[in-house]
Formats: sequence, C-alpha cells, structure tokens
Amino acid sequence: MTTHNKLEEVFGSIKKSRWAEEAVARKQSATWINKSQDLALEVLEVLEIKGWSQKTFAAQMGVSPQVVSKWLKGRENFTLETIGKIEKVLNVDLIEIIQRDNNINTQNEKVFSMDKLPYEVNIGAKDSSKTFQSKVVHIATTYANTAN
Amino acid sequence: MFAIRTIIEDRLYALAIEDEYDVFYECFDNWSDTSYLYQFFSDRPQALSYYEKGKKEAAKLIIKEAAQFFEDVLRIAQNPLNTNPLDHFIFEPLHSNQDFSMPFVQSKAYGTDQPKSFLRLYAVRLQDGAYVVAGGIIKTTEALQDCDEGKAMLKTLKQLGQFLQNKNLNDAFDLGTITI
Repeated sequence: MTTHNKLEEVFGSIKKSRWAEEAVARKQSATWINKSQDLALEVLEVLEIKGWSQKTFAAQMGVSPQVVSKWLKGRENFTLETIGKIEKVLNVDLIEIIQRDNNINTQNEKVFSMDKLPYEVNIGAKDSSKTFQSKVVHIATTYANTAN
Repeated sequence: MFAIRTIIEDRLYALAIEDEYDVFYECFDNWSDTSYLYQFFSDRPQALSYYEKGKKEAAKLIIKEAAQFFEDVLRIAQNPLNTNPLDHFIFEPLHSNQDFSMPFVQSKAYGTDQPKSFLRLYAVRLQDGAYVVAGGIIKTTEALQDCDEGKAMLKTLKQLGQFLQNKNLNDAFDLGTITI
C-alpha cells in the first residue's frame, strides 16, 4: 500500500493542491512578474509617504479599488500607458529607460537594425515633477568599412 | 477534523484550508504578494530590526527566498524519477537532540540554505519520509515561540500529530513533526 493510500484511509479522498499548476504558470512569467513586484513595492511605498489609501489612489486613477488591489499584489502585467498614468497621478518617476551609448564610427559606417533594443528599464521611484515620456530609442550597431 | 491536499504524491501533503486552498499554496501565494508583505511589515515594525532593513527591502528578501524555496520543491515535483528523501534536503529535525529515526519528531526546513533564512514551513513527518505541512511563517523573532504566529504554529503541529496518532497511523507510520 502506498503512502497516499494509507493517508486516504485516514482522510478520505485527497484532492491535489493547485500549487504546482500556479507555480509553473508564474515561473513562465517570472521575468515580468519580478518587475511587476518591484513596481508594486515602489507604489506601495509612495502611497504610504503620501498618506494615500488604496481607495484614494483608485479614485485618483479612475479605477475600482479592486483593480488597484490587483496591481499592488505584484502580478499585474502593466502597460506603459498604465505606468505612465500612475506616475502622473503619484507625481513620481517609477521607471526610466537607460540608453546605452554605442561607439559610432561616422566614417564608412554601416548601420544594421538590432533584433533587441539595447535599453534596460530601471524601476525605482524618483521625486520628479516631470511627466513620464516614453523614450524607446532604436540604436543601430555600426562598424567601420575597412575598404574605405 | 483535518483535511489534506497532495503537493507531491506519496511525499508531500498540506493541510487544507478550504475547498481549493491549502497551507502550502497559501504560503506560496502570500510570500510573493507584495501587498501582503508590505502590510505584514507595516503591522510589525519591530520585525524590521530583525531584518535590519526597511519594509520594501524586507519584502524583497522574502520574495527572493520564497522563489528559491518553491523552485526547489517544484523541481522535485516535476521529476518523478527523483525519489530522494526530503529529509535533510528540505526538512531538518527541529530539536538538535532528535533525528528522523524517532517517532513524532519535530523538524524544520529553511527557506534557503543561506546563513540567515527568514521563512519557515512546519510539517508532520510520517515514518516513510512523507510530510504533511501544517503551515508556514515569516520569521520576525529569533525563536519560534517568541512570536504569536510561532506559538500558534506549534499548537497546530501538536494538534495535527495528535490527530494522526488518534487515527492509529502509528501502526503504519511514525509521526515526526517537521518545522521547515
């Protein structure tokens, strides 16, 4: 008799936990979930500093408290539009896009499109009065043409 | 009356909370929920001195440790060929003067093998090496019994062990209490 059978004799039919199913789903989404968690923590901290409840924040955002509650759990796949609005309402910068500098040889250069945009996103609230503006910059790699 | 849910069949089980929820899933859920964690540390400002961090940073610590712990368990769950015992890999005896050969051993597993671990899961060990998780806590004090959640957890563990004993499971298993 297996352990499971023995336990079923005591507990009756044993259902399976949904844990593994959820764990697999979150593992597949780990990259953006990690960022969502960071962002949610920043917002929670800003709300505390401002003395705003989640209800107040929801009202300012024009959404229901249930929506805000979901955001702040750290599992929301935010759109840039929503992040931008949050930044505007809270008057903070939450993310910034760092543009990498590539050495560009302006002489005899050949420009290629990149498969991946060479920017990274930092998440961290900054006190700022400026409105968030998206700055996705397409940077091309270059190399010198040796046959000048 | 206790009910349980299967985490890894024949190896790991958890007390059921409601129809679709159990204590293992609850820990997995709460320990990655930023809103829950921020409120947790807001309600326990004294705990931040234990972490030597602010609320945001303490929450990030918990998230990171929990992610690693549940990743380890998921890896076991997804590899049916891995039949290595959970003893010493996930769980350890709670008291230094006890070991897994003893009946009704209280044991503990850490959220991480790093020098300082902030998460604990508590379970009852069955003689054949299977475990029934009774719950988990985020540490806020050095000793389990120094916080209310710890005291409640020890009580649940004792009740679970007693329940299993009353069901005459000791004929089939020995029960050890595992504190993770």
